[in-house]
Amino acid sequence: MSLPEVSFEAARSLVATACLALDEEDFCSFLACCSDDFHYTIRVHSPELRRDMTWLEHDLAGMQGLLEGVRDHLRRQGRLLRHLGASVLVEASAQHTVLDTSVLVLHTDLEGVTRVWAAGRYRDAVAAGADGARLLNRRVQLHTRDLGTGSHVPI
Amino acid sequence: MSARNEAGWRAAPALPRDYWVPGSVYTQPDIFALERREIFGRTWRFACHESELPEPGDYRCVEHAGLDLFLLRGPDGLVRCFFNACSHRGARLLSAPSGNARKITCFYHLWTYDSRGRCIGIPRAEGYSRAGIGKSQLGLREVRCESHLGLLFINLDDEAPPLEDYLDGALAPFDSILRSGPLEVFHFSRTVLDCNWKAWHETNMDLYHEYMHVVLRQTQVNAMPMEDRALQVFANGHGGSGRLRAAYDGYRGFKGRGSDEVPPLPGTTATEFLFSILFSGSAVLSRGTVMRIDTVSPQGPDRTVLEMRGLGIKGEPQEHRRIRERHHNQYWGPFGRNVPEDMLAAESCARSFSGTTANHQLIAREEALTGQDDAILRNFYREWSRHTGVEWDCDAGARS
Repeated sequence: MSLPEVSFEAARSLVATACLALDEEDFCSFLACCSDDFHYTIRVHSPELRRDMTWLEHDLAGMQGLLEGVRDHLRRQGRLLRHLGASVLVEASAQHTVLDTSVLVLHTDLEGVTRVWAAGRYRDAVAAGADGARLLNRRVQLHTRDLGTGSHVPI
Repeated sequence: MSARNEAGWRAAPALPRDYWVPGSVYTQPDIFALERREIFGRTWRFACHESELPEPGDYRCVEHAGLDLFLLRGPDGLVRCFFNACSHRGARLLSAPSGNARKITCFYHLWTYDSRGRCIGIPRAEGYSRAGIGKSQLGLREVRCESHLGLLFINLDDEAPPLEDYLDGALAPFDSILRSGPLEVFHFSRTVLDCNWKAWHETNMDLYHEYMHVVLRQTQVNAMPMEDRALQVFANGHGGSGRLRAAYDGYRGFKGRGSDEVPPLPGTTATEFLFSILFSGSAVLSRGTVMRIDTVSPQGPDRTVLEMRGLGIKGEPQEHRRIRERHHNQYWGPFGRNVPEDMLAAESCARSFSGTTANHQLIAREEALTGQDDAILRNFYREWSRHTGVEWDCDAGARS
């Protein structure tokens, strides 16, 4: 039995759900949005080196380990909010639906001050699974290169 | 045992002068101006790695001591460094962080310079001949530039001693890596930190803060007996370590890192950890499979640009590079488990000193150059005082 194609709307909804889960640091819910073959990368172009760099790369098990360890670490106080902009359909096939979505990540500190922390784009591949649509691949192409004190939580 | 009142809190510690540092050295504008002139204006500073300028004409812009500079590889293969300003009206010559230029033409009035900094073109130059000036007097300001095994250093002081004399062997632990063949920078990040440059650099010199990092508590603190760790201090304020060990399996997600999943850098092993601290603001580290170089560019007493580089083996297979990038990112990337926490610590101390909530810091650990001895920090501050002339004593204030 072949699985149905994932519609643009369903894919976009999954991307939004995954973002909300990360915003809430509900990592179990985020991982539930990912397929067993999930692959995650953060890529950044360096004009200094005149090449692309990889700043984070994990499969599902790697992401699981990364996220499980977050609570143990010293990190910047406050919370992140991922604001999704427009999505465009890049590819739709029986295998997957690929969306390109702009994203801004805002940081709000403990005094309630909000600043833009990062800007970039998600390139998400979404595939149908037995239990619904799942993220097959997420590539974050960051425009922001100065991430201040960094983050233990992925974008 | 009790908490202290104001007098007790502000009192200088009953320690030798070089066992503590007053907070004012992080905050006073006049001390910052002294540092710029007497330290950053006179000492060798790491600028970039030669792999960032592989071809003739390749250039790399850098900031140093409040100056815009660029390094350029000439057709003769030599890398030279210049002020990034036109001799004419001072316009910035190169604005991209890197690129390739066989000759450099100012966008403003099209004055042109060659790779040796000579002025080779002035439109309608005869207009200046009446004033008695010409191309021969209008070259760029060249800055001294020397290489140590591919690491390019610059010095604003035309009379400074040669780089190798200055290093005093502080990079010797890295010789086998650096001599083994070409390395390549694969990671570069630039971050503005809200702290004094020394607060960042202390995170490189202070081993005692290992306890702050979960990842170091689980992979480093117990990887070898503290008394077997060898630390070193060198002339000119440099420091470093002998060959330390890490036990990567101790941290969830790092399993396999200590094995042969990728060849270690030549001359080291997958589980070795070593570092060299260079006065004034650079550190070179190796974690077996990957190298890191960080360097500071102070912008003000409370603002520091930090540049981080990750290095691997040039021309290595893509799969090796991916693993090496992963190893780099695990500790040192912006999403890593180590460096972001160091940045938080540096900014936290800066906040306390900028408001004078904190009065001084202690660098008084003595462990006979083993374990988590503060000797590297003391050596750094002795050299810092020698350059700046700033001293402090029982009045707990720094003075020059």
